[in-house]
Amino acid sequence: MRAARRLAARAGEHGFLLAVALVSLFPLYVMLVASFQRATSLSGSGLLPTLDPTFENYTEVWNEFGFDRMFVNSTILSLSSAAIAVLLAAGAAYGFTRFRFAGRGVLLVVLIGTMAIPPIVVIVPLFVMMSDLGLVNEMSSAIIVQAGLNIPFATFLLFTYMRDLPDELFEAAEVDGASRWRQFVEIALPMSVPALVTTMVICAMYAWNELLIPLIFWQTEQLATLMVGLAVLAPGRSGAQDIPLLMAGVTISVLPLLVVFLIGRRALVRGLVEGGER
Amino acid sequence: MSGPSALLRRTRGWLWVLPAVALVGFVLGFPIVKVLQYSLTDRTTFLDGSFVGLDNYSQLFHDELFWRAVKNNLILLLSVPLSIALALAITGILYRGVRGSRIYELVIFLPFLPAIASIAVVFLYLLSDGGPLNDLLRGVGLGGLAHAWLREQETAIWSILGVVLWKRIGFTVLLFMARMASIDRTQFDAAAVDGASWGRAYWQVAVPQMRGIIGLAAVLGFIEAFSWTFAYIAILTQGGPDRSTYTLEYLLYKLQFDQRLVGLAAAVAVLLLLSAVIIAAYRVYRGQREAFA
Amino acid sequence: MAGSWDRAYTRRQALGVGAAGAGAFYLAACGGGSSSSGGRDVAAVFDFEYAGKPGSMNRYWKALRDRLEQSDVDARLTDLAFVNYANMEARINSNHAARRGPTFETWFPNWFIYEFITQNAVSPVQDYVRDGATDDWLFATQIDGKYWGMPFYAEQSLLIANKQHLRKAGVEIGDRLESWDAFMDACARIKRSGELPVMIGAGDSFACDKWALASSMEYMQSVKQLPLNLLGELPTDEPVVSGWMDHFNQLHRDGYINDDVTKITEAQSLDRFLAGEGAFAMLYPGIIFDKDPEQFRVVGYWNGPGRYAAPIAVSGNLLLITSYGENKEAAGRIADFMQEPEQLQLFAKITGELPCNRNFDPSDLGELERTAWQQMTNPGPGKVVTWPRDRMPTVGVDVVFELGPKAFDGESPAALRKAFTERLARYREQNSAQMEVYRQYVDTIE
Repeated sequence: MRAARRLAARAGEHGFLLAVALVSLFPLYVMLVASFQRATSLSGSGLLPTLDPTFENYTEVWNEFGFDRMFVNSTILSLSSAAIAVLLAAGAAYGFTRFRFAGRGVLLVVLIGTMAIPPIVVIVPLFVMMSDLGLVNEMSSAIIVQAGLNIPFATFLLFTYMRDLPDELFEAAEVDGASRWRQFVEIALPMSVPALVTTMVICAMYAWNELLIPLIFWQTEQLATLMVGLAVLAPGRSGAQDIPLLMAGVTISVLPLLVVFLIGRRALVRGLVEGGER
Repeated sequence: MSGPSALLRRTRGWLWVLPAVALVGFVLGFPIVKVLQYSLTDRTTFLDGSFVGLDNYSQLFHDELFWRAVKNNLILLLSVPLSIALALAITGILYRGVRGSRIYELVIFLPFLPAIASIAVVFLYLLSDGGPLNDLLRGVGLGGLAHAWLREQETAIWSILGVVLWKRIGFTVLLFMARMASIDRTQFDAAAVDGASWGRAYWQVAVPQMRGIIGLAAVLGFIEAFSWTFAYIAILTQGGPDRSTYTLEYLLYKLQFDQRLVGLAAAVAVLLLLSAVIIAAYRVYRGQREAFA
Repeated sequence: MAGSWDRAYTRRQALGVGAAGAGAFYLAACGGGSSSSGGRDVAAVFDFEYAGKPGSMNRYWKALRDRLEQSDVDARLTDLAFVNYANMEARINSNHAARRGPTFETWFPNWFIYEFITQNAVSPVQDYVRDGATDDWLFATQIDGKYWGMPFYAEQSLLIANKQHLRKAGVEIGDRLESWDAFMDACARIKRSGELPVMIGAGDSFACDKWALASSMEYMQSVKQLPLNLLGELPTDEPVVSGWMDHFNQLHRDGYINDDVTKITEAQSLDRFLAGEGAFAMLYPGIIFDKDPEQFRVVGYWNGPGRYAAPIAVSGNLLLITSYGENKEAAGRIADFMQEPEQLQLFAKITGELPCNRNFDPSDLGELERTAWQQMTNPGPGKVVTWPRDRMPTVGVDVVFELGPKAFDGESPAALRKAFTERLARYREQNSAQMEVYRQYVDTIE
C-alpha cells in the first residue's frame, strides 16, 4: 500500500528532523536554564527550569562593562571586515573561474591553504608588523587583519558557486559585446546572490565571534569588542566558575547574532528564492 | 571592439585576483614566511636560535605525542563525512518541504551562532560528571551510559568529536540549502513525472550538481578539524586526561606559549599548512577536471 | 541575459554592501585609537582571575582608577584591559615583541620574568617606587640584585577542614597538622566515624598540583631543588621531588579519598566539600573566605623537616612595569598608591584575596581570612613561605598534571617515578638550548 508506506516514510522523516532539532537545541536549552539560576546553589538537575528564576546574572554581566560601546565595536568589526572580504573575494572568485592565467591553480590552492594557519601562529609577527606601521589601536588594523583572514574562506566559497554558473550565459554576453566587467556586474553577481549573502553572513559571524584579533590589535578600553569584554567570564586557571553567570554571558553574546540571523534570514530566503527562479 | 593586447589578455585574470591576494599576502604572507623561516631554527622566545635544518621536523616525527595528536585530528576528521551525510539527508527533506521546515531550518542552524569558546564552556558544564547529560541519561533509565565524558581516556576525544559535529551540521545544511536554491526546479519535476520517487530524484538529479559544494564542505571540514579545534581542546580537556586529547593545533599552542619553543611550534604550523594545501589542491584540481572536461 | 528587474536588484545589493562597508570603514578611520597625553596616563593589562567571582580583578582595577582620580596623586589610570589567562601570553608576547603596549602588566613570579628581563621588556620596578617601598613587600624576589616586579596579589593554596566532621571524629588539631602521619591519623579516625576524610577532584588536574605543592614543601630546603631536578642534577626519588607520589598513593590505598577522584573537576569537588562532603580539602582563598567560620576552618599544612614547610603555599604574583611603557614615573606613583593601607583594604574587599604588604591591617577580615594572613606572615620559627613550582618552566607543572591523577588512582610510586624521570629527561634532551638559558637563570637564584 503505497499510501501507508509514504506515510511511514513521512513519519520517519519527521522523526529524524525532530531528533536533529532536539539535539541542536539541548545544549542551548541547558545554557538558558542555567543562566536563570541563582549562583549560590547549582543543586538540582540542570535539566528543568528552576522554580526560583532570577535575572541577576544578566544584570550583573550587563553592568560589568560598557556594553553599548562594545556592541558598536563588534558591529563595526564584523560588518566592515565582512564587506571588504566579500567584495575582494567576489572579484577574485570571478577571476579564478572565468579566466585562464599562469599559476591560477597554484594560486587558488595556496590561497585556500592559508585557511589552515591558526591565527595564534602568526599573531606575534603580525602584531610587530602592524605596530611598525603605526596601526595598533587604530580601527583599521583589526579590520584589515580580520578581512585578510576571511578572504581565503570567502574566495573558496564564492569560487565554488561561481564555477557552477552556466557558461552559455557568459558566452552569449561575450558575443553581444559585453566587457568582462559588465559580465561580472550583470551576470556573475546577480546569479551569485545566494552565495554572496551567505558568505557575507558567515564572514560577519566569524568576525563577531573572534576573540584573539581584537584582543591583540584593539587593546584599549575604547575599542574592546563584545567577545573581549566577555572574556572576563572565561574559566580561570583553576577552573573557578560561576556557572549561571557564565551561561548568562554566553547567552548575551549569542543573542545579537540570533536577532541578526532572524532578520537576515528573510533577506537570505528572498535571495535564495529569487536566485532560484530563473 | 578592439582586441586587447596579448599581454593584457594573459594577465587580465591576475587583475581580478590581485586585490584579494594582495590583502591576504599583506596580512598572512609576511608572517607565513617568518614561520617557515623559524621552523628551520631552534628559536625560542628567549633566543633567536640558529639554523638547524630539518631537525625540528625530525624531532616531531619521532615524538609519540605528535603522532597521538595526528591520530586525534584524524578522529576529529570523521566529523566531515558524518556531517556531510547528515546534512545531505536533512537538506533533501527540507527542500522537498515538510511542515514546519522553516522552524527546523532555524533550529538546526542555531549551533552555528555561538563562538566556539563560548559554547565549549556550555559543553564543559553539560558533559561533566554531575551535569545535565548524565542527569538525562539517568532520568530515562540509561544510567549505565553515564560517563565522565571529558575525563575518561576512552570517551574524551569522542566527546569532542560529538561537539565538533554538533556545531558543524547547521552550517553544512546552510551551504547545501543555498546551493539547492540555484538548482533548476524543473529538473526535479521532470524526474517525478518519469515516476521516480523523491529520494531517487534527489540522489540522481540534485546531488551530482552539488558535488562542488560537497567538496567545499569537505575541504572546510578538513581544515577545521586540523586547524580550528584549539578552543575545544583548551576549554574542554586541556589536552588531557594524561595528554590523550592533544591535537596538532593544541600541541602548537603548548609548544609556542608554554614551552616557548617557537621553532618547533613553527614546524607544526608548516605541517598544518602543507596538509591543507595538499587537500585543497586535490579538491581544486579534481573540480577543475570536472568543470572543464 | 539577466532581466532588468534583476539588474536593478543587483545594483541595489551591490550598493548596499558597498555602503555598509564604506560606512563602517569611515567610522573606523574616524573613531578609535587613543593617545595618551601628558606624563600622568598609565595603561594596564592584567589577569589573575582564578578564584572568587569572575570579574573581581576587573572591578578592583576600576575602583582603583576611581580612587586615584579622587586622590592628589599625579597619575591616572587609563585603558584597563583585562585579558583572561588563556590569552594573556599571546598578548604579552606580542606587546614585548613590538615594544608597544601598556605600562603595567601582571604575571607570576616564575622564570618567564627572567626571559622578560633578558629581552629588555621590563624595567626594575624599584627604580620607580619610593625609597623603602620594597621593605614592606612580603615576597620581594630579586634577580641580579634588583626588584623587577611588585608583589601585589598573594594567591594561596589552603587546607580547609570541616569542623563538624572533626568534632564527630574527636579529632583536635592546633594551628597546623604536626606531620603527615598526624594527618593520616586524623583521616583514620574520621573514616572510622563514618565520614569521608578528604575530598579531591583531580579530573582537571589542578588539585594534583596543590596537593603536590604541600608535599614538596614538607621537605624543601632550598627553592633550587626542583629546578635542579629538572636540570638532571637532583635525583627524582628525593622526597622533595617525588614524595607526593607516596602520599597520593597512601590516600588512595587507605581509602581516604572519594572514589570518583579522577572523574570530577576541582570546581566540582569544592562544590561538594562546601556542601558537607569530606573533612579536608585544598582550596584557593576566594572560595572559602566568605564562608561560615563555625563550619569551616583553615588548617596549616602538615609540618615537615623542610625549611619551606610553611602552613600554606603562597605565590606573590607580580605587577610589572614594561620598559617601553609610557609614563613610568607615574606608574611608580600608582604602584606606591596601591600599597597604601586603604588601597590594600580595597583590594582585599573587592577580590576576596590577600595583598602582599606588611602594612595591610587584617583586623577587618573574617576569621578564615585572618588565619590565612597569620599563616602567611608568621609561618613559624625558621619557616619560609613559597610556591614550589614558581621557578619551573611549565613542564614542571605539566608532569604533575599528567601523573597526579594516576597516583590518586593507585599507580605504584615506583612506576610513577620512572615515568617522571623519563619525561623530564626527554624534555631536557629535546630542549637543550633552552636548558642552557634555564641553567643561567637557576644560577641567579640565591
